[in-house]
Amino acid sequence: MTRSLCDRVAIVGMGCTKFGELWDTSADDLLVEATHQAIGSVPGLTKDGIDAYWYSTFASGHAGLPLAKALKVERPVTRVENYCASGSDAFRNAAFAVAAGVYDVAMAVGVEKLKDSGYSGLTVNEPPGNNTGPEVSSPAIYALLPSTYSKAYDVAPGDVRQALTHIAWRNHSNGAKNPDRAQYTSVVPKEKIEKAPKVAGDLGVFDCSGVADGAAAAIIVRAEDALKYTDKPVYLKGMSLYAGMSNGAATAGERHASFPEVVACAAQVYTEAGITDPRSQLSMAEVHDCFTPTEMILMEDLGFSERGQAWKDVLNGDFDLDGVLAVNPDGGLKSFGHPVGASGLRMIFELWLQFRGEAGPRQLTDPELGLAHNMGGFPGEFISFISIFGKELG
Amino acid sequence: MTHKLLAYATYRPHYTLPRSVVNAALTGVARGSGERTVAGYDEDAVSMAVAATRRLGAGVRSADQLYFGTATSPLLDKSCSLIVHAASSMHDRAFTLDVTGLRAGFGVLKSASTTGGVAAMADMRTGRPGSAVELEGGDGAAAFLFGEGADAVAEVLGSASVPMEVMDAWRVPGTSHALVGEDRFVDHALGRAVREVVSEVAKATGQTDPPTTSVVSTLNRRLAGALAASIRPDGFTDVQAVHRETTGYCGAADIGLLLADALDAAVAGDTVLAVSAGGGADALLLRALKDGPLAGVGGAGRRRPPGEAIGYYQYLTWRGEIGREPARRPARPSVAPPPSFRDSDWKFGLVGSECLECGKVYLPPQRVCRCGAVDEVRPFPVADLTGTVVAHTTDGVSDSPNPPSLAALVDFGTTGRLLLEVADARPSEITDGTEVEMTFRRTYAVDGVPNYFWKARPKNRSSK
Repeated sequence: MTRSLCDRVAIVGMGCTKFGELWDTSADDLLVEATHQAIGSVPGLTKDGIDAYWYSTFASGHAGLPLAKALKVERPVTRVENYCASGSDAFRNAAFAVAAGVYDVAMAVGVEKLKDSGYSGLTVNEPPGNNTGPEVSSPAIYALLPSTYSKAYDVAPGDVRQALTHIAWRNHSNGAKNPDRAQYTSVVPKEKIEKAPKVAGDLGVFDCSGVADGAAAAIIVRAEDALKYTDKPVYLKGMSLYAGMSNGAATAGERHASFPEVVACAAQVYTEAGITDPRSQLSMAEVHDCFTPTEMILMEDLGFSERGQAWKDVLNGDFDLDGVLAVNPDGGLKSFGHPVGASGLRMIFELWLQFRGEAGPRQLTDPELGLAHNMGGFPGEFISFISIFGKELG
Repeated sequence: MTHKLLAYATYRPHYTLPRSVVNAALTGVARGSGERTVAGYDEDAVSMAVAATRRLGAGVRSADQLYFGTATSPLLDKSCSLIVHAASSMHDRAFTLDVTGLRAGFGVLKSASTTGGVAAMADMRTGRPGSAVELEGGDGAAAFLFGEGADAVAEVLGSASVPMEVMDAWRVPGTSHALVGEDRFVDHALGRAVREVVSEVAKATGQTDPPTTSVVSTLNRRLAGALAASIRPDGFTDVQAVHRETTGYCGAADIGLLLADALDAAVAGDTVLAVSAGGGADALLLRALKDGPLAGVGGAGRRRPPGEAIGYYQYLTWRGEIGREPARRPARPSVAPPPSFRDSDWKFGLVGSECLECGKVYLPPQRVCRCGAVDEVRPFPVADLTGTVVAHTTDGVSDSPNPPSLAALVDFGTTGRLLLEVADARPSEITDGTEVEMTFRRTYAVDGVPNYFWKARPKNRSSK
């Protein structure tokens, strides 16, 4: 039995660094920046007021010690790692602790320093294994999706390609309105997107998210205490996390055009938050656009589009900043890159700004409810996290 | 006591190197006829031996001996026959043995024909760039199953040996280039040995008539042809000529490839003399009991579908003669012995699991089924299944000596799916619906230590 956390916890402060190739900035620097921004966003709050920390990083540090050392805090610090959903899971566990009444104020902070490795993309240090995994890169694994989607719904490959181009174009256009924090802040013409060098299959450079360093942090309290800290808190309406059991891609007969973990995750969070028609009830959604076909399929798995219709809705501009449901208004992973431990909290940061009316040139008109979807892994074995936030209680 | 030959099979890699390409690169003149076979960058003697052995069919599983012969064992000290054993799904009480050097091919043939069991042989010939060893060498594998059975394809009439201490070919440990003695001297020594061994085998078997067919495996192609013709001047020597034009001298595997080709060309009642000339001479005389080609029992015709000719630069890169700049990617993980040991059935045998309760197949095997059953499983072998490509892509990120690498999501019908690397194919050769077979490959090496696992490759396109 899963019980709802709807309206039981709130975010009262947040911080988010600039994302990018931050050669002059260490992981410690990023932690200091994000946490102090978050603390500074709550009038009167000091570091001593934070009772416990959940610190997420995929590979930029071990245990809770890097945070404790960088911030000079003697507090409970738990490191959280759950692939690309690490930042979200840090938030989730901090929310549990506050809701349980164990702590009054908890911080979730995520960081990743990807660029120091000298490699492009994520590098994973797996435990010793039998070395039977195929040497297939992440872009190649996701490059299978456009064709399987095309076949599953009998959509012309050219139409799917146009939709992917639109997603890249739109997310970069949104990112161009986010110059203070996004990694990429230029509008990219559709022609340039389509003519870009291919990375894997039909996926070109602009179909793949960037590789960036960054950090983000959130301060979490019980909902009834929220107004003691800020006059514009953001309330958690529901959250859900699913770990795939490695079936989707491995099961014969599957069309490989949907992510079952996301479907299950969405069903649960919508029940928690009382959402029956996400497309009309949500004002915005931050989704995990690691590759453009991921975002297209997510539109269906999250219930924003009918099955087989996402490509059309995308091309219709339904998910543009001025569409029926703004998707990735901050620019998404496409514009921010994907510092693994930080991305989940970066998504929530955009909801925080939008609900508080602080999103500048990308500000939506009076958003009420928003969704953040963050996931890690690969088709067939995903960690999927969805949270829903609102501006008001009730 | 000798056993009958129950099945035989060969494996020639998909790639070839035309001799004219080598000469054009080195001298500017594209002269030279024919081509040599070239193991893919992800193949070695072990993986090729596995390919040939698996082609022997189901009889391999009950064989009690496996003799593996090669002069290019990827690991020393450790027995590589154990890898061939594990990847060929042989029973777990079989005896296995590694035999080394160029004479290993004949050695495993004679051993298996004496005790019964499998003779597997594979080799890669690498010489200095531009050398005769390089130009006239080849890569390949052959396998023979001996035993008792009514359905034998040939019987062994006898054998003879004339050992001779002679510096005809050698390779210093730690080096990759094969070296050979001066042609005219080697011709002299080996020519005498072959004449003597032919006489000895006739005495040993009582077969005083010349054999219907003879094949001679030796480093020097002219000597090989001349000796084969001398044994039976009017005999069929086309096998030898075709082998030189399409394959080249394949080291320890050469005698096996030639014998298989000769059996393919034979009809029931023919006698076939296989002579290995190196360090003296060894000979095995067989009588065919069936008409060739014997594809039905794992043999195959000499005519092979065209492979893919590669350039000289590509060959030198795959052979490690040219150290190309690798993609900027993290180092691959070292081979961790305990996990490979525990998961041997999966890693080497490609055996998954099937739930006894609900029938779901798991690749790799799982103890717990999503239906709730625990440890209610039976093995589910995949290596011999034909898969269908559901989706495929190029991969410009993963490092490969043969870019772009290819990946495919492969469906095995009513069972499970696997995401696999694709071997022996250009991007244009893989489409949705392409039928693929499983192939055991050397996926990478760390500090020279090879890691093996399975890949997919287009079915029925390979040379036999």
